[in-house]
Amino acid sequence: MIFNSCRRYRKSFYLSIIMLLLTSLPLFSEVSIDAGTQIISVIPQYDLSGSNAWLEVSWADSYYFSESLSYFIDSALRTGYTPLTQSFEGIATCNNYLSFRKNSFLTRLGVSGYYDFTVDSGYTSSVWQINTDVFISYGNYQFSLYINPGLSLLQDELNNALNFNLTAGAVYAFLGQILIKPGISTEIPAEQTNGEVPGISPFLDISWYTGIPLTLKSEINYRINLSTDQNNFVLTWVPEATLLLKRGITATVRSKAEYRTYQTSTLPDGSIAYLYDPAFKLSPELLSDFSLTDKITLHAKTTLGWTHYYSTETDDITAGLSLDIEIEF
Amino acid sequence: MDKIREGAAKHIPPQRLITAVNNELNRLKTAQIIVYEQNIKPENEDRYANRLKHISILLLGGIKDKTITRLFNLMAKTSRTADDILAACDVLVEFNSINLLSQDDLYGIGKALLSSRLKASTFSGISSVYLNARAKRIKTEDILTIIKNTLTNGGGIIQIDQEISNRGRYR
Repeated sequence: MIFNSCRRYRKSFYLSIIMLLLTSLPLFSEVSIDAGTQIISVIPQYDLSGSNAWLEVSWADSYYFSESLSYFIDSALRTGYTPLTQSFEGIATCNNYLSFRKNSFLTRLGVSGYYDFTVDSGYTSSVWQINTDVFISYGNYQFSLYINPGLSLLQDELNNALNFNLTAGAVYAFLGQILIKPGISTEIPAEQTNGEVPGISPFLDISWYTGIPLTLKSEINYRINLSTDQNNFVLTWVPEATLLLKRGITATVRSKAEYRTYQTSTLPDGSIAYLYDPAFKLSPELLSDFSLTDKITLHAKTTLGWTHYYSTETDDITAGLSLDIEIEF
Repeated sequence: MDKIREGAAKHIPPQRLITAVNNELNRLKTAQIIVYEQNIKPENEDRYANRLKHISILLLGGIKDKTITRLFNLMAKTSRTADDILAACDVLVEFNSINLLSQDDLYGIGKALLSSRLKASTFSGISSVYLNARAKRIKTEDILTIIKNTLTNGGGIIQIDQEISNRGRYR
């Protein structure tokens, strides 16, 4: 029922996004143009077919109505072209956050969405998603508790997915510089048409704001898929370091390690669909930002991706280099 | 004298050496004026020399004497010690090393730090938060406003982290 209603209003939704972007353009003072290219190679075949060039126009602004109430909006329109496969992609995104902080309370209402349109070898496809969530936190400068319920609705050409999610956790500031953030999140799909299964994820994030221009972070997440016919999990660990090399030059080194067991899903007709094979993934990245002037920044990103599939004993390796120039107005 | 010996050992041209020493002397003079005007001269001579050196380093880091004086003027109002004020100024030097800020912006951050409930020993973490927010492509003006509003509202690193977590774009 929900999805039929959604389809009915689909055209209105697209129009709303376009109208929102067009009408909001003059309101924003922070406009950026970002142009870049991404070279992706599959190793050892040197298959560069995924390499692309893109152009992004983004608008972001904040309104501080008082010391307690603020509103933040960030919209972007991005177009990308992949010459070797002759595919074109357009993505429109819009994120809105209304924050209210008073004494020990922080409440933030978030509404965000995106629309992704792809033309690949004459075949067009599109997907859109809307997320809404409320972040409520209570605490002081040393300790804080929070709860973050949310709802997301995704629709592509074949499937719909309505997901409820809830995250709850605590943050403790150890020695005033190390944030220890244990928590748990759950995801409950309203319907399993998209192969989504309910899951529960305990996690532990640690951020160390070292006191010199260096930040160290570690995020560990253990997702257990909850389904009567499954007993599988995904374990991820993302360490990250951000440091200042010299004034105007920052570098971030990040690496994601993920181990997952198989994942299956029972489709509405009773058949079993295999979503994932057991695999180990490792994807280190180096991100560098060079402030050429106050308004012009060069961003560089080098990535490496390695996936090992245990069932077939095969490996996928990719390498990527992305360069873009961002001009703020 | 130490500076001259160090420069000579590194074969730095005499003219550059003289300019550097002159600048250092000027900074120390300014530091002396601040210390006397604010009545924060420690009784111990070593501590006094260290305080002058400390303020000289702040001046070298781009914090103007007027900004330092304005922050010292908040000492009574915020019930902070001279060491607390200097700890806040150290953070401003770190901010300036990340990207050059106006003296008004630096004063605003310094004032927010001194008005906050944070202990001076934990001030330095704020500069790392600033760096992290910039790496997330959050606009400088935005980060500064978030830091100032959060600190003056009784929050700390936790609340700034929560405020910036949903902003910016990670690539």
